[in-house]
Amino acid sequence: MSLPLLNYLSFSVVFILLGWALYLPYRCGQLYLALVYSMTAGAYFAAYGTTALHWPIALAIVGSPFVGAFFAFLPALGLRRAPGFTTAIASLALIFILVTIIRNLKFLGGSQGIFAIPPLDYPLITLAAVLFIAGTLVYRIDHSRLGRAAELLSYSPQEAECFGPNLAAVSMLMQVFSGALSGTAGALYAFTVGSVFPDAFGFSTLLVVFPIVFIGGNLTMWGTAVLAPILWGIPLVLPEAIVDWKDVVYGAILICVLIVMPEGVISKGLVRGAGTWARSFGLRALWAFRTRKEHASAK
Amino acid sequence: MRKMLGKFVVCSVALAVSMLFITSFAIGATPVVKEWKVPSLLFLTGPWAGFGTQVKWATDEAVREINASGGIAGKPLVLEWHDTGVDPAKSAAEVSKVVKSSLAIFGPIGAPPTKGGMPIVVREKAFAMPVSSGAEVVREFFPYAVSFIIPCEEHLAPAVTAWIRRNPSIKTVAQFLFPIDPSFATDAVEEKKTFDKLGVKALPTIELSEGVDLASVVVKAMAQKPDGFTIIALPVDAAKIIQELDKRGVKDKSKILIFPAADDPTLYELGKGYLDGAYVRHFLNMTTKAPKWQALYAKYRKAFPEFTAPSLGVPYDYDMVYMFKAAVEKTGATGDPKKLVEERDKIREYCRNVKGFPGVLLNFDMVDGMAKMPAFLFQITNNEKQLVETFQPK
Repeated sequence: MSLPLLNYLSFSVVFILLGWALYLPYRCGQLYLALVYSMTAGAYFAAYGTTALHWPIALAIVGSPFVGAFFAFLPALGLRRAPGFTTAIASLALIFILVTIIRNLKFLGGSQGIFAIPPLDYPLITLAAVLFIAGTLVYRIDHSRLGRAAELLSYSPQEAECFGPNLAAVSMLMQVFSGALSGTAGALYAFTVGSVFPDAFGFSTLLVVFPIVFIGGNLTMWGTAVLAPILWGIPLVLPEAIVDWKDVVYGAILICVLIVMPEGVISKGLVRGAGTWARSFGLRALWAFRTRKEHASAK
Repeated sequence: MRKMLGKFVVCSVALAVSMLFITSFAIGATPVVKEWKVPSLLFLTGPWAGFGTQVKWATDEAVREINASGGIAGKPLVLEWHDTGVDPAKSAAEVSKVVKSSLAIFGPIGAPPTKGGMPIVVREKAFAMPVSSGAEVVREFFPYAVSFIIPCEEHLAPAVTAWIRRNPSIKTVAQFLFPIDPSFATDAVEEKKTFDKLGVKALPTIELSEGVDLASVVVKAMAQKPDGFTIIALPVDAAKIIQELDKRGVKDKSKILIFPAADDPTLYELGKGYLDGAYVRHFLNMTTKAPKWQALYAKYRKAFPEFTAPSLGVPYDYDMVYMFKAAVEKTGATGDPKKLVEERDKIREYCRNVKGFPGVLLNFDMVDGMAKMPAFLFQITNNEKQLVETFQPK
């Protein structure tokens, strides 16, 4: 596979994971911006493990979601009951705190960073496996009691309280799952780019993830999965004259979509409709196949 | 009849084979490409786009000159511009598009794009020329890169020592640092080491951050009662710090030492009237009367009439193009895709160790990918830099 295509697929998976990491806490009505914070932790874990400690890449990938989850767990103890705005500001601050700490740690490369990170041995298989496992996790959460409790929490915390779920626990769990996804995204980022350094993790990453989630669809996981490759790929193929204006284009699309389609391009209704169509198509195909088989056996 | 026909066929085949044999040598000696396409990676958008405009101009100007004088080995040079912004991921994406098919990559320029894009160059064992991204960053990617900026320890120590020698009353120094780039932090550490060796006390560093109130930062520095000040910050912040120092009674600007990246047109625009007497340490002497530089500088002033002092990327990236030209011609590269790896390796080795390269500012050697150039100390007089000392490389 060509290097540009592999690079494009790798970053698409990274941004899908980050998009889901933003999506899960948003299901509880929390704008949780610490995905870059957990991504940084996962990236440095993978980078340090494979370069200084000579771990196999698989170990670093398997460990990164746990590292990301742990880093998310610590502030979640305080943020689980926080209202939406407080969560947004506090989680944003976590990025700057962690990056500043890393800048002052010599064994993590300080301001320079860590280089010569090995590439993935089997990139396509690894990306597909990570995406499948993460997607399954997000899907199961979405369609579980936890997901339904989170949705109720986002619509009406007072009503949610009446139904009994421990709302703080729901919120905390979503933040921890978000951390796990972000940590994995960080590890994949490290293996794709080949270097990690403090400047790579900042507010600009959030500016890429926000449009993916809020244009793609913030009430369903499929919006992120569909829009991430499209939005990431657009600047790579645009003519030079228009590339300079890409931020304007992103901003304009985001504003228009939020006004016209607040749920995003891929809404819940669209997903349900697509599911119904797929099922009916599948049933018709199955019926046609059976009919043909019966005719064949009758002959 | 048949015999004659047979002889004719045999002679024709023999002649054709001979011609092919002879012309294969000729094809090997001249380029097979119609033009030399070189990808050039630069921050054309984003917060550094202003610097990028100047660097792009210098690179394009070198290409114009080369093509006007016959190109490289008779073929024109064509640049394919790729915007990296200041985004490492974008830089990695752009590098991945061009790394396998290019003899050399111009750039990526800037520390974040270099760190994002260069690992791919290293993995593919290709060659890139992030010549003005900073020695401390670029040397992490040797031998697949070259740097024209000399390492901090080579340009900083002599200049700082000379500054202290010229100001023997300085016993304590306050350091302003804006750690927006890792090389800035490295500069600060190296300055402190030099002060330690000189017996000058470096007071706790005053760190700036984005949007901070510089007046309060200066008050904090002055509270330490330093004898001198060093400024490691962006040009805008450097100018404002000096203005604030002036307001608080620091009239003898010789007690201020400004670091190279702050030496930019913006410093002189915003700091006009406040800078006279201040020292600037640098690894470039753009006040030189070298004819090539004077000619380029004249063109620069026409292109950017609002600026009096070019950004440091201008001479470096201009030289980068000429070094590539020399490398192609001296190594006999043909641009044949079948010989890409072999020719790229030769070009890389040439650039890494060329001696007496005729740069636009001065002739210099390359040693294992690093330029060997002198360092300089300037003093600002009438809002212009004047060279006061030159420190030759060891």
